[in-house]
Amino acid sequence: MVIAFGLVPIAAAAGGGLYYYGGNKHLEVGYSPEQPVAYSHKLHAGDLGIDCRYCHSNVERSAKASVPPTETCMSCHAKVRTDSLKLLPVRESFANDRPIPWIRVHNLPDYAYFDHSAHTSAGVGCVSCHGRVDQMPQVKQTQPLSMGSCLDCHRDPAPSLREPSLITRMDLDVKSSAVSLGTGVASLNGRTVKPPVHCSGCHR
Amino acid sequence: MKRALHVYSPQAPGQAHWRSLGELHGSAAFAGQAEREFPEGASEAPSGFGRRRFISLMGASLALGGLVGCRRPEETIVPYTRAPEEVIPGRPLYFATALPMLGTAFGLIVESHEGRPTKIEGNPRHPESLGATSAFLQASVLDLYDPDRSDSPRQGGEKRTWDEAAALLRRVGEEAKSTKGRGLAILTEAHRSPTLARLLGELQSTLPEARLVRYEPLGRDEALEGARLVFGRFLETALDVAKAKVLVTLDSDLLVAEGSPLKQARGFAAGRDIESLGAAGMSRLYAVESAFSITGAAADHRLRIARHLVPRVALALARELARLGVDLGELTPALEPTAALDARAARLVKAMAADLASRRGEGLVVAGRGQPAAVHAVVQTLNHALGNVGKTVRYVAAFEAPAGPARVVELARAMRAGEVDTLLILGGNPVYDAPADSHFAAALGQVKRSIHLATHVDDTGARATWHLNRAHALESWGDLRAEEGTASIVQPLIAPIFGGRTDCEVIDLLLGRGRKAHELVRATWQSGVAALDFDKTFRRALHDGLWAGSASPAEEARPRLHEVAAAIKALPAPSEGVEITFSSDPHVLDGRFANNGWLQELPCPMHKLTWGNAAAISPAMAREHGLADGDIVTLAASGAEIRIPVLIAPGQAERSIALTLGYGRTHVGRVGTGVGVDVTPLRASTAFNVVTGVTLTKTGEHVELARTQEHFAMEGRNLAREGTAGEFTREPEFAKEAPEHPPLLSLWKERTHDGHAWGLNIDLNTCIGCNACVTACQAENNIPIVGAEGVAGTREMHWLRIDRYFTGPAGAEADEPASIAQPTMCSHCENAPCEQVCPVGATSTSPEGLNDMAYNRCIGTKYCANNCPFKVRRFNFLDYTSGITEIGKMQINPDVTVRSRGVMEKCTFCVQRINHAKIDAKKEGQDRVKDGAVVTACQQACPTQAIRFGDLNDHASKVARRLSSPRMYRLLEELNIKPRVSYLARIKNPNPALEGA
Repeated sequence: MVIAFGLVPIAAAAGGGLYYYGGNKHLEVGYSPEQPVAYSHKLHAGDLGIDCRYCHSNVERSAKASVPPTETCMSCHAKVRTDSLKLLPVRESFANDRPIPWIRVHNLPDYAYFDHSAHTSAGVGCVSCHGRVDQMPQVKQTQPLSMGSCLDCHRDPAPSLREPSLITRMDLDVKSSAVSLGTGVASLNGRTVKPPVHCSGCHR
Repeated sequence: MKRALHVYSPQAPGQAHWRSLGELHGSAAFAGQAEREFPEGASEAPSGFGRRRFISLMGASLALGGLVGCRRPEETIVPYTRAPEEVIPGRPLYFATALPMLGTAFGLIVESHEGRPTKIEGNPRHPESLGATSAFLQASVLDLYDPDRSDSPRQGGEKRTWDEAAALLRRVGEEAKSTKGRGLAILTEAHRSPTLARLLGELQSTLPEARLVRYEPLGRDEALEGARLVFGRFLETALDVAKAKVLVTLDSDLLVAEGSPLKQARGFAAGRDIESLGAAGMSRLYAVESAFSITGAAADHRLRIARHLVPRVALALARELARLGVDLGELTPALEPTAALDARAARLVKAMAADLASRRGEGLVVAGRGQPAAVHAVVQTLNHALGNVGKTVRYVAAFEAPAGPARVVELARAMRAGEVDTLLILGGNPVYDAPADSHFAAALGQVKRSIHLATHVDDTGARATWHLNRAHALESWGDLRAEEGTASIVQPLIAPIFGGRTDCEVIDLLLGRGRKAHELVRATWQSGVAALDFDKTFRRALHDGLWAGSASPAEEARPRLHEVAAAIKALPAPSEGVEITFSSDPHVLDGRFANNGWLQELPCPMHKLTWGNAAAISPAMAREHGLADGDIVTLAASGAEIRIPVLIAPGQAERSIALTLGYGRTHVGRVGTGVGVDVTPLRASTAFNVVTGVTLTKTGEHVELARTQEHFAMEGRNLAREGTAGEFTREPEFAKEAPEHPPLLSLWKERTHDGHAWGLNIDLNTCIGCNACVTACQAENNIPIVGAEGVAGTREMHWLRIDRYFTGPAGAEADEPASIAQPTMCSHCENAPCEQVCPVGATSTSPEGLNDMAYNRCIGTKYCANNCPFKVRRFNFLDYTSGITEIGKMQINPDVTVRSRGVMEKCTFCVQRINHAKIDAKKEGQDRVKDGAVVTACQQACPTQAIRFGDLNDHASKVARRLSSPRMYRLLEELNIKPRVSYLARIKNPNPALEGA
């Protein structure tokens, strides 16, 4: 009795808990929802080599990288593949002025105020957090995006820094002149990068 | 461990500071309250009626998350289909517009997040705002998102479309043409829109027999009538307070409620800058008033006297000036003493007159809107005779001729007599606020067709046959002229959320057209300008928020002394009995803000009352009638009576009861329903501002007033420090005097701050305690409201509070106090006591010296609040935010976390603004944020620029320079907490001739 109703559930809970919380599963690594439009980053960013900022145009100006308006899609697709069935939702959206409801993949808690522009200007590449998007037919989350993963980088920024002009390059081994100046401080092209590690750096 | 109440240490010999009569007299209830951080029962949910009310307050639209499993809920990103120009998601845009209020217009800059206006700031270019705002202006954005606003026209309560309403208006216009307008009446507010004036003018010329009536419950009618008396025409008086060295206010709350208050408060602050002007160059303010006002609290000398006796003071002042050789010509014989003032008043009048006469051209005499026209006429005569005109006083043409309350009484008579078939009411709420002797509600019932345009179905809308929903000023095109004439274009920040229309559009429909407000406004301003130039100038005016050079020219005016003399003779003789005064309410103004939760919960500056009104009586009157705070009395005057709780107000004049307008409305909405008492039954057109012969009867009933007065008391330490100009000259560092303490050694490693070191300084010399900062903080930081019961349980959530201390001779009764206001927020102590007791490290000091609060880490032990010496931490006892309606959520600032139940919160020094400035600086390649790039919400709103924020490590910064002032002191330095908030002591400038008065 004690074993059946006491130990077994506790052991199961502990084991399950360890499995679930011990790994990255609860942090949604690998999350890859199906999007309303089967948009392939592999095709656009990888094979065609379109710069990330063609669509995510505000990434250097705002906290939000912003998903592009339908108009941006139509700037090419008004002429390219105009009869593709896959693009029907895009054309409908443009014609009816109804936005496309994309599913959010990289989701930080509301109390964490991440700012894209601060990171791009410091020289953090897209790939650091988003992975090899250029190889993803359907975007998936590759990093845990937990507070721990933020702090790992904030405490040792040098390895993640690259020339600000190369931030959208997807290959991970881009040469960088960033030097570590000790715990939590790096220098890139004579500029000091000292990311915050205190609470209000991200939480307000 | 229970703490004993400290007896407070007198600041100056014979002086005492106290926050309330309970503290002064050491009442047991106060002592009990002061011992506890939160009173008993603070964590219990509201009960009974209060609980039901609380739920309805919160909108009851609780969207329960439910079981969502282990995954986070799926979220969508909805981009634009076609991105609007200029909009960058995540970055706000700012637009210039203007709002009308208090008979003038304030230029504003409104922050908009992806099309949602969220925050109002002042427009630094606008002469009426100078970058500052008031509590009312700050709270206007909440009114925009009021879920109780009307969403369609209605006929007899049934919803109608705007097409049907437009057809009705055209029909009314068409029918009126056949009778030249006979039978049509239009009742408007005291507007300041050139376009509306143009359209009404056109209407008047096509329908010459239509009645156009204007009514404003708190108008400037008496001041304009006074100008006509003395100068023969209607003139506005624009004041330059900064140039005035001697100010005399006669029943005028100059700094918050009269004329153009923001500009005047800024001018007052400029005149009090003792460091650059020196003790001799500092201005001196004498306030003569019945109820203790913000201006009275800022004054160097205050005379409390019943409002209906103020004219006697004005005449005595004139007489004294004439005696001192000021040429008043024909007026002098009319100034014979009719009633003697008491010795104290007489002495003060003598001193005022001597001061004014010795500084000709540098003085200023002002009368309040509650004073009769004759007093305004005398005041302008004095300014003229003293050579102040052209220096501290400027006259400009009035926007409109005044129309006193008698006009609306006459309109109501015509309505009852059947002379009005159709009544169109553009805004306003006459059923509620028209003078009692108009019996407007009954008269409205006699009108066949009554049409009321308003944002809410209010008291008037519920009785009119037609209700039309009006657009809020933040969603309208329009135009406004400020007091001194500067014109602004009102531009919409958002399309009308409920499909409302503006006054101008309604009049245009009546004229048989139906143009949009945008077209109407352009048409007004286009006349005489070439089309090509016009587009450019119009865009420039929109961008700047004003038409350059549109201020009215100063008018030359000569006083007609015999007219003034005749008016003085006609002044009624003072009466012996008790009077009631009617004034604007610091929460709801005239009732228009009754459904605004921020303003309802804003502690009023002098009495710290929230959620309701009360009859303010002097302590002596309370003793005489055996009354305590909250005792309900019956007030009877001019054949009517009301029942209202009393509030014992130190500083209130004897035999004078102060009532404020705007409460007790019957049709308000979820916030304002059932709050406060309607005082208009006592307000007749003949006794519009003051009524005498009042009887007060105790009923024996009692209610609990929701006041914040005795919460978070500081137990008598010398916190709000002040001295006189003389003391400052003798001992400039008087404020630095600290209590004796052991050597200040820290248990912790002392921190060094080599980057930014954020700090804030508040100059008590210029702070007037107007509450603008409190509301600005509430708007910026998503601070919830908790309701009356919550406030009574000390659960109010304001991060920034204004402590108001009364001061007076120790041992005396509290009848004749002075007062000082001290804004208090988190001091961001470098050795923060709160951090040392948090078991989970939810609060900690940042490298830049901010006392950070991580909500997501807080588990709600409240230890930090218990250990905070300033009592500035606020705990979410209940879930105040998840019930915010969908429409209400549009006001929420996306840059600040919305807190939930069970977490502690407090001032963050607007860390969201700091972070934005730092990120922007980094993007521009700078290592440090420039001085002035971070402006906290409280600092931005402050009309007197009393608050400065910046980097203490930057020695050139404005805040660092303030720290070198001899007046600088910090609170509770003896605890070695090293607060980052510092204060500058207040310096008063009393007249040496009145020593000991």
